[in-house]
Amino acid sequence: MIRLAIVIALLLSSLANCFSQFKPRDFFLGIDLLRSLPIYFDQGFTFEPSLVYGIKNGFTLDAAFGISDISKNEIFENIKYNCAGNYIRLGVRKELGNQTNFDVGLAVGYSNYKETGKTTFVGKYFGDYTYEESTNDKIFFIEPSIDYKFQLLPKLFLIPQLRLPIPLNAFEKKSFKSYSAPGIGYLIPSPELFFQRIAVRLLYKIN
Amino acid sequence: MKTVRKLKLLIGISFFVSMPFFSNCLEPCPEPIEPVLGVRFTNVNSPVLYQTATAKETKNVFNNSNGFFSLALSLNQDQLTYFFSNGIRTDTLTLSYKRDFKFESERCGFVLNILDLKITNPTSFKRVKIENDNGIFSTSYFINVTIDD
Repeated sequence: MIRLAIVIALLLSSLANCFSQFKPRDFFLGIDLLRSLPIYFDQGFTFEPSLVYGIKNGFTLDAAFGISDISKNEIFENIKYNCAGNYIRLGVRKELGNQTNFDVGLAVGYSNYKETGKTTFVGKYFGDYTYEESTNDKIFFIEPSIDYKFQLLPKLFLIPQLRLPIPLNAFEKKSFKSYSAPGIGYLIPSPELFFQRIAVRLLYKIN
Repeated sequence: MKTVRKLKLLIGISFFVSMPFFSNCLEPCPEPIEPVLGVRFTNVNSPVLYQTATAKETKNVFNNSNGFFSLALSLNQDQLTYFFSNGIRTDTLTLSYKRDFKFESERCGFVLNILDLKITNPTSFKRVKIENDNGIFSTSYFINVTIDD
């Protein structure tokens, strides 16, 4: 696994010497690869297709839509957790210069989701009981980000990205503490929080 | 050198002051299982000694230690009738209560609290008292039954 990671890193670093500029009217179809992998959850999926459109002077429009249904076997000591919903993100990106493949971006987003927590209390004498709480929530957020473009093929780009979503509204008051939201990730401090902010996108130029 | 010594002293004091916060001072979280309360029998002028305790809704027998019984409360019902027997005599005790499931904290998750525990009918005992047990049992209650007949 380590050797594979080193090979991939060496390959990507060689590609990094190619400057990849998006031109006006370039149109890309994309997908977030990392979100689809069960790294931050135990079961489920997140599917995030996106569209990128070149404007001019290094600016691009970036739109993404996501559907997510993830589960974690245990949070908060004894709760089996599920979060299902969808999100949309619209933003603008800017290349940081002609001699670099770094981009910075700013997006606004909206996430609409339902969280469910379940705990089964064990009843040796009178039978088990499963207690469940569900809440619906909506979050508006802004998301600054920075990424680096690797050109794999003439029309194919691999873009690792660091995103920092910032919720703008307070969550609905409820007993069950909000744990995560589609498009944003964890809402509470967690050792995995930093890694959740990393995305790896694959973009394909379609014109 | 003086600064280094002061720093070491400050670190040492901070360590001892903060120790209570990192030691096992936090109350343990209740386990997600059936809550338990104790029943103690006080026999006044009576030779009655129960050997078994059961309930209508279960085939299992509750634990008994020298006449002190640990009764489980149902997670699914708000009222239970228990039967105490010594082979010759059988007495009944009926309890009603409220089950309060809720999110306690990030540390404990969902917990069950038992509220409004009461003695109701049918109960054959004449002198029954509910008392607080200072956290010995998960329900924080135990029942004191005085038998003098």
